[in-house]
Amino acid sequence: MKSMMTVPQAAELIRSGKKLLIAGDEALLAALPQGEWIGGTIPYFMSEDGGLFTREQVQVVPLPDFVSIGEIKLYDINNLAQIPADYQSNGFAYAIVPAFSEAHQKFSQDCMNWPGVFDRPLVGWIAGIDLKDAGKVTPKVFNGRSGQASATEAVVMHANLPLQMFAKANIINLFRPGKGDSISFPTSGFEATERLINGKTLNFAEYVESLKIDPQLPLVADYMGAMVNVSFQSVDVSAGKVAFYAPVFPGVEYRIAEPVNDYAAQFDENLSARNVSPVFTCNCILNYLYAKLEGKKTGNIVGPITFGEIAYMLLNQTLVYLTFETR
Amino acid sequence: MVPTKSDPKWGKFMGSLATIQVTDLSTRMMLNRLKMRVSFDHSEAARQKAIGEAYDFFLKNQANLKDDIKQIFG
Repeated sequence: MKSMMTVPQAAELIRSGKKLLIAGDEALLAALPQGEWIGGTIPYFMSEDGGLFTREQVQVVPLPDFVSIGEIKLYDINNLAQIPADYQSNGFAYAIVPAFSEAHQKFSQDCMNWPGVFDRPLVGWIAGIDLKDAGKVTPKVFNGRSGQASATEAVVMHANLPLQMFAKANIINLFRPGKGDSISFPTSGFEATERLINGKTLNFAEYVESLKIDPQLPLVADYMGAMVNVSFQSVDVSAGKVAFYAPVFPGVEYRIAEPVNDYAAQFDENLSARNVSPVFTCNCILNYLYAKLEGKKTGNIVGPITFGEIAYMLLNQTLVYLTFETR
Repeated sequence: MVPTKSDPKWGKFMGSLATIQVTDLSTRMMLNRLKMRVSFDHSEAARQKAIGEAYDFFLKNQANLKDDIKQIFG
């Protein structure tokens, strides 16, 4: 069964009792019947036939029958931190957060400090829109069980696995820190003005401009071997501000990434070396745009192309995947 | 096997926190959180809190993180 399908095909799967992860245009998701599904808006996909933009079909990932679903719940900014407390005993949590919402900001700034956040895999993505609709349409998330949609809250499916299995979250990030300056930030946030570069305080926008840094290359930090990107949204030299698609954090050393030549080919190579069969994957809209992935395949990976990826924390320009392992 | 909180291995763990090599994404991110916290707060209370968090994390996940636990504690 291919992942891209029409609303009637997805509705039939829902009515058959399948547990589903769904991505697609808002009008299509709104037309689906209630059932055991969770969804978010996005018209960009990595399909079996390659990168794809469509508002005519939804992408459906069925969970195996051995997965049991606990709560499917909407979280506002006041109870987002409760997500780990709702983790299933041997499961994973699948979260979708609407881009540009307060929940998006709050999640990305605070989640690393939530008690118990790393106790079970927390994966998911940031819902988005057709880039042509920027400023006109808000991304939405859907709780298929209750029939609720929200542009302000995160939706989380708490799933459980049989005792002999466990879920594992992982990432593929082709970017590595370059050999340039060490960059650090005194406060967390989606914007930067004055920053410490090699120990000296400089205006970050002027720095980026003066070195002609390619804004398609993210800042990369090494989290004990996990490479974590923060992507540039804009560089405004007149205002002295740089905006990012994820927050930077104090105490973290960042460097501008080395360029990646032929993203699709390197991705295939990396994926083949891992020999994994993910249950769920998502990849970043910036990788889709910058690496011109429309029409191109990235291994056998299918999943939404997103406005941010979640593997415990908000990531940029990264592929997130979830696997089920046997003990 | 996760050592008890009073085991001296936790002292070694904290001393080598910046250079520990693990493979699981959750372990990496959890350790990075602890590393950042103790870099801002050098107090004994912060150190003990970090040990407590790491102990709870490894205890809850010991069946899934055998390689990382063995790598850290032997």
